[in-house]
Amino acid sequence: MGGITVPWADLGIVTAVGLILGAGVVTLYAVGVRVLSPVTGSGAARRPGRTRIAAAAACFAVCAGAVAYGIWTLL
Amino acid sequence: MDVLVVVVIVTALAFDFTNGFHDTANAMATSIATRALRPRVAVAISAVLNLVGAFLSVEVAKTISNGLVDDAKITPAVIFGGLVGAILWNLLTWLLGLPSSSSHALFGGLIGATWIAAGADAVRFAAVVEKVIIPAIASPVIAGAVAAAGTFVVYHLTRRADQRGVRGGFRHGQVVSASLVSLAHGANDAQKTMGVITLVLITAGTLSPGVGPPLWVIFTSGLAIALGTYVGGWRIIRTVGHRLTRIEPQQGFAAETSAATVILASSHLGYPLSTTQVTSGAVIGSGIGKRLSEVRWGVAGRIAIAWLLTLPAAAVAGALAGRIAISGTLGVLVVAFTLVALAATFYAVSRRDRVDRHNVNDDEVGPRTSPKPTFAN
Repeated sequence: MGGITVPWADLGIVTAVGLILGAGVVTLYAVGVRVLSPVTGSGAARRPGRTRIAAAAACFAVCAGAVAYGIWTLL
Repeated sequence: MDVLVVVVIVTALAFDFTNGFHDTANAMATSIATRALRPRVAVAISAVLNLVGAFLSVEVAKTISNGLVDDAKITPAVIFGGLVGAILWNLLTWLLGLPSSSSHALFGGLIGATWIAAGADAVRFAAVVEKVIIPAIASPVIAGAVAAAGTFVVYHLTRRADQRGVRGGFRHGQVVSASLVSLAHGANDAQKTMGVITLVLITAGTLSPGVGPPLWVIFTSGLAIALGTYVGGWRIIRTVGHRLTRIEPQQGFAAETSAATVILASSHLGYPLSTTQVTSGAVIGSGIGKRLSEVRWGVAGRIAIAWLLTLPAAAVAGALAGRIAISGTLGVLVVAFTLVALAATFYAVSRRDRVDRHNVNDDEVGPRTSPKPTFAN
């Protein structure tokens, strides 16, 4: 059997990219969902204001950009 | 065209079909489990995106063996034996509802058939360790860690929000994240069959060495994996979606997004990971991220054993099939009829405990703690 090389650098990069981009996108999407959702026990559900909608839209737009980048890497 | 070449091409497409229905769970199990998508809609979306993915790139198709065996010693009969070994392992694990790697089954089958036909020197064991064993250990751990981190953050951020709205939001997100996994799966796995068929055509003298797969090979490979995906490996979908952990939309979104990111990052680096192991690891990670006790470790252990057995079991089956197939036309016919008979037997056994789109979401481990959600579409 020849020499076996463990690609530690590649594994580290995949882990880092996964944590930063994968968990990052999940976090950003959660923030977007959170700002659009009323707080439990805050009474009757109200429509979110413009600021909240804009903040959520920004979060979702970044997530959409990440998905587009992911598709681009497939090409 | 030689009859053996036609038989190998048909067998390669049959493997591609089993790859499709075996791996439907990778992308859609969590979306089906959380009812983000209706089962039939989920597999239809996944099928279309697998077909589209097949046309995105042919880089992986340039080599089928991935350097694991000496390509110069591969003959159509050896490839046939390897494919038969991979198909049989895929069908057996489907029957048992275990999400094992179709890629590892293919590699195992080819290694076994090559070993029996050309000797142990034709197998590059160092490459097997580097490209199969190490990724098999690392990929579920990495995907699980990413999904656990994402799930933990999601629940922390949304704990005080109205849960009905939160679940609805994440169900919509799941449609996109699951679609991305499907697209990546089509781009990666359909190419393996393209590579098999291209190599057979080169060895038969129909194609010149070094050329990429013709358009009809790309189309038929994409169509076969798409059809397999549409049929849906419901038994494996049930395992990944319900039996590993009880999945909520937040977890499903975190698992799928983590899996997609890890698959795309590793593909971009040229580092081969099994999509099955990545997604299964991510689902387990999403259970850990919510609460450690959420994971059914007995089921996870059975899946891990299947992962360990995939390469050697497919290699043994591939070696047996290859040994008979290299003896001549009669040997190929015997192997082909045996494959059809065993596939029919597996199908007949599966009908005794039928799992399909109607009962895939039947929760056998107790009622859900959260209200039954409505579909997002």
